[in-house]
Amino acid sequence: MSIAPDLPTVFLWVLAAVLFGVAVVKGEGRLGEAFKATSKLLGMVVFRLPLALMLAGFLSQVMPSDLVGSSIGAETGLSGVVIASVVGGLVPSGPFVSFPIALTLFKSGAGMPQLIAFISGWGIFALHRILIYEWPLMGLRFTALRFAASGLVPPLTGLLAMALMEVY
Amino acid sequence: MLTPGGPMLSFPLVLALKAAGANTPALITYLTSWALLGVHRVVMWEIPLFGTEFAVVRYLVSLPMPILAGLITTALIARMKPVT
Repeated sequence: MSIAPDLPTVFLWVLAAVLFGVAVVKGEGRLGEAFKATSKLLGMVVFRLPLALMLAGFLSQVMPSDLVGSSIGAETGLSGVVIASVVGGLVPSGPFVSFPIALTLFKSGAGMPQLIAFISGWGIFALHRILIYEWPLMGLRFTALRFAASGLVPPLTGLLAMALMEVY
Repeated sequence: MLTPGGPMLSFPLVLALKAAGANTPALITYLTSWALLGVHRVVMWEIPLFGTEFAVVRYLVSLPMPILAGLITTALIARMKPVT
């Protein structure tokens, strides 16, 4: 990554500055609370983020990029979207693992619609979440119902992205 | 969509909403929305890693999905009732 501020970084700075302003104007100790929440989050991230970045680095060396390109590359269309949805759903972890994986796939030649399907698949199915939270807390019927109702969603997001990119 | 935080936060909330009388399609709409449209995830991960364009496209195509999942749930429940 370069030192020169790119568009995403500028956007994040502007967003942070605007929210800072809102917190100042609204007052009532909001600013202090905001910094407290930030440091709490930072404490959580500071150990995990370097690990996540290392994970992405190592993965990029291990991941067979020709396989990525041929299975979920931009030209694989619907089949790539479906594969990416399923693979995304099988990632059994939080964003600190799934996003480095997504980044590695991105760098190894995954297409944008396929990557969107991957992230949707992870968000919707994430196996560990179903096993740890959803099934025990909400019951099998609810889990099965949600699975059935949102099963088509990850491929659909990929297909919509494909359609959107055609239009552009 | 506006609930920040991981599953240890969202699932207890869903449980509380259920206890408060929220119906199943609404809960599934909420969970789908949390999974796809969480703003904190976009700001923390997607914009820095994949760029604004990717984040915007992904958000746009995901917008209708929670409502779709809720509607499918309603349809599924309606179909199940006569059988059970």
